[in-house]
Amino acid sequence: MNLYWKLFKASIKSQMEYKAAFLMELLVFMILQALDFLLVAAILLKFDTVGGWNLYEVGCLFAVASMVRSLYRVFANDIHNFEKYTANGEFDQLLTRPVSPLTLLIARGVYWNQIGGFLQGALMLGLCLWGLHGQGVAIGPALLYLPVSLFSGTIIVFSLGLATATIGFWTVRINEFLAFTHYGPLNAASYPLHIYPGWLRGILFTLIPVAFITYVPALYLFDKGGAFWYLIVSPLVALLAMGVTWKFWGFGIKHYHSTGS
Amino acid sequence: MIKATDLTKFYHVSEVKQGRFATLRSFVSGKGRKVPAVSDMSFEIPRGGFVGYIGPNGAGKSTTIKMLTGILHPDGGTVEVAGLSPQKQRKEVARKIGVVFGQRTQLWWDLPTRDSFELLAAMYKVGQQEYDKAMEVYGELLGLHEFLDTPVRKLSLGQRMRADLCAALLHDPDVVFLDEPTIGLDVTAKNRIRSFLKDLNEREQKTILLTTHDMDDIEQLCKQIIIINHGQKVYDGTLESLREMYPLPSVLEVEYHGAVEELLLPNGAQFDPSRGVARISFDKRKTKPLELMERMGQCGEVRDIRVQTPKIEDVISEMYERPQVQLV
Amino acid sequence: MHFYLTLFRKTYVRNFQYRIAALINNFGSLIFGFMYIAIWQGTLGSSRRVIGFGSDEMGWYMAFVQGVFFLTMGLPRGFRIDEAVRSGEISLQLMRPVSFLGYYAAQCFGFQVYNIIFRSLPVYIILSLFVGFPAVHAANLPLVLFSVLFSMVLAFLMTYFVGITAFWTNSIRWSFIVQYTLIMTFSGFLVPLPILPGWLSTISLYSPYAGMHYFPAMFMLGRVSWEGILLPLFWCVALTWLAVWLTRLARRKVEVQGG
Repeated sequence: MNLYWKLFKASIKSQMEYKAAFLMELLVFMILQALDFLLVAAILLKFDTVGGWNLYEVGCLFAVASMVRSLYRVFANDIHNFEKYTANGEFDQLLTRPVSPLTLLIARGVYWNQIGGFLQGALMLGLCLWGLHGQGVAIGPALLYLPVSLFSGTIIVFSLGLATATIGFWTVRINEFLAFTHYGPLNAASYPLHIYPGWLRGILFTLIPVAFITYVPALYLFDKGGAFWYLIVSPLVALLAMGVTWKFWGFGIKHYHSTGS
Repeated sequence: MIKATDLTKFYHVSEVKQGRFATLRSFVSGKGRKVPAVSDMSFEIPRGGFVGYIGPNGAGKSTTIKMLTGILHPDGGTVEVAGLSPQKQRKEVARKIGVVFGQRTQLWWDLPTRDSFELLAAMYKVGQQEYDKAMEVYGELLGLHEFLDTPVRKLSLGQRMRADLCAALLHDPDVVFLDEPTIGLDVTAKNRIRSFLKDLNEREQKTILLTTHDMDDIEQLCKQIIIINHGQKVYDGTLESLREMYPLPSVLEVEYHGAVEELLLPNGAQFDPSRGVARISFDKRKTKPLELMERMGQCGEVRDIRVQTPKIEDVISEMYERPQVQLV
Repeated sequence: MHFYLTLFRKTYVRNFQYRIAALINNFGSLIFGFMYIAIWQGTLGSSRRVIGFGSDEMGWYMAFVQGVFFLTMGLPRGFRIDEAVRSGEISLQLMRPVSFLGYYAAQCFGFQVYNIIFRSLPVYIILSLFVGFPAVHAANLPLVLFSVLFSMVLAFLMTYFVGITAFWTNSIRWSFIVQYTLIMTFSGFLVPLPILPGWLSTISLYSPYAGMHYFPAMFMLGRVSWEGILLPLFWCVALTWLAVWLTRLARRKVEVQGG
């Protein structure tokens, strides 16, 4: 635990080395994420609803997806950028340490410059919930459930990232895969999933289970025909995804031990 | 301290197909050949040993090191480091070894050097007292104090290597693996690193295994050398006995003052009248250098005498040129 | 001319070596394509219409811009002019007896032609298998091609502007992000421009960005218009002139400072 605390402090310190760049990075993140919302905002201004969900409801999906993605990048950016370890042989060094490589990867740093998405998401979520409140919707349950949602969402995104990183033990390059396992699915999870064709929805519920980040619990919380147990399913799916990925990662390391980079 | 028995490692070479969609087809088929990177390698390094592990690029040096440090698992044979198997007890072995990759730093790029040390100490669970002691001893020997508060990215290559060495030693490992520790350094920096390593080996009895392309490293430091070529051990022993097995000629040069009686010079000697220097190549085992010197001393007034023993790189290149001679 | 042709061919061939990466990348963009199409179709349903677009037309539009995307946004960031500036290679490039601008243009078109064959067409065709192909009037076909050509030229210029800022700033990151934002907002990639609210829609239609996605897609859907040709043509000429002028400034800057 002492190690983590030290690493935590160190990462703040090392990023303070570039104060200006740090703030800029934060700003950029928020702008780019807001841009993603342009599409949905334009639609909603014309039509009021997307797939039966109004601006505030879709906004909540967007906001949580944004927060979760940002949390993942803040705490596990080196998993996301794992290609640099497989491509430059840096992974070797992790294996000469008396600590598990996964621990080292996470401990490598806390990337505060990725926090922009979280702040922007939090702001957006606040506004949307306020809007819903104005429409007479009870937002208490959603607020109470938020920590669970952030937790299971981050775990799901982390699992996807770790699985992608593991693929890197075979393919070395992983950045091309991230469109499927990270960028695409998280973008997809920002909309009510029933608007997608069946096969795509099927993938988003099983192989790449981003549906459980917000959509599934929101079905109950926003009274879209969901049942109470939907709230429990999300964290369970997150833990399951984590477990499966964990095994896969172990398998990948074993492979690396036998072939190297 | 380190023991390798029949160590073997293959690597896969994927068959590159020809013709249309070649890349895709080889990607999908996944077929490949097995090529031995290291085969039946056995050696033993005692506690306090200082071994130079040398061979041309692609000979299997880094594959061996990766197997010794637990990064790669062998396809055949066994490894023991400090009595443990790096394969089965990777983390325990990691505590007992220090590793420095000359081309890559293990320090945190943006942090002051000192912070990297503290992080590593926490990672290896080094107690405060041991940490302070290590920093005092190594900090002094390596001259780290001048840049402890400088971020690593601002260090010169020589400074970074010194810091990396210290980082690898903080947890007081029994065995130290150094992969090209002097690469890219200037002469002063190299000498500093060498004298530190020599001291480390002699005073603290640390077992050191070093790979290098710099033959001065080998000549000045290593008690034992292991030469590998095409994945196989071709020599294991001391530098002196290697020189004896490959008796390249030593050279004696005598510089005269004034007149020289050329006819009295021994057979094979070449005399350069303009510089007044006579030069002769001889085999140390057949001819005693002292005898030769005496004889040449009778030919005129001697101003200076120089003896050149064959350089290790000449010996090794001689070996590579005659690989059919199995020395072991 | 021969030199530019050779450079064009070499760039094309070099890209060939990244086939698998390109293949995977294509699948990645398909996901986005499906998403955008699904969002619109989910919104429009079977009866709603906007700017005369129903669910079908919107599907065709989105599929087409997803394909064009590789010609406009699928280029190397600022053609990596910043790296050449940092490494000093830029002085060599400026010294060569060929036009600096032409050098990058030839490279860019090699890249784009490669992208048409291995990215744009496959992605467009696969998406169209789901949304159907619009019936293109044969007489309109040349206009569609012209329109795409303008889009390629505009994309070259926009990317070049990002790259050339490297002569004046340390990092082109900022100019890239500004440019990216402008393209995303004003080109009609996410939303057909008339749907944008009020004045935003007017500005975007007259901006050079409209020629990058919006007009080519509208032409493809049979909505041919004079301004759809003339506006992009005007911008191509005006911005090329600007690019030449900026290149001259950059050259002078390097000559004064010696790289």
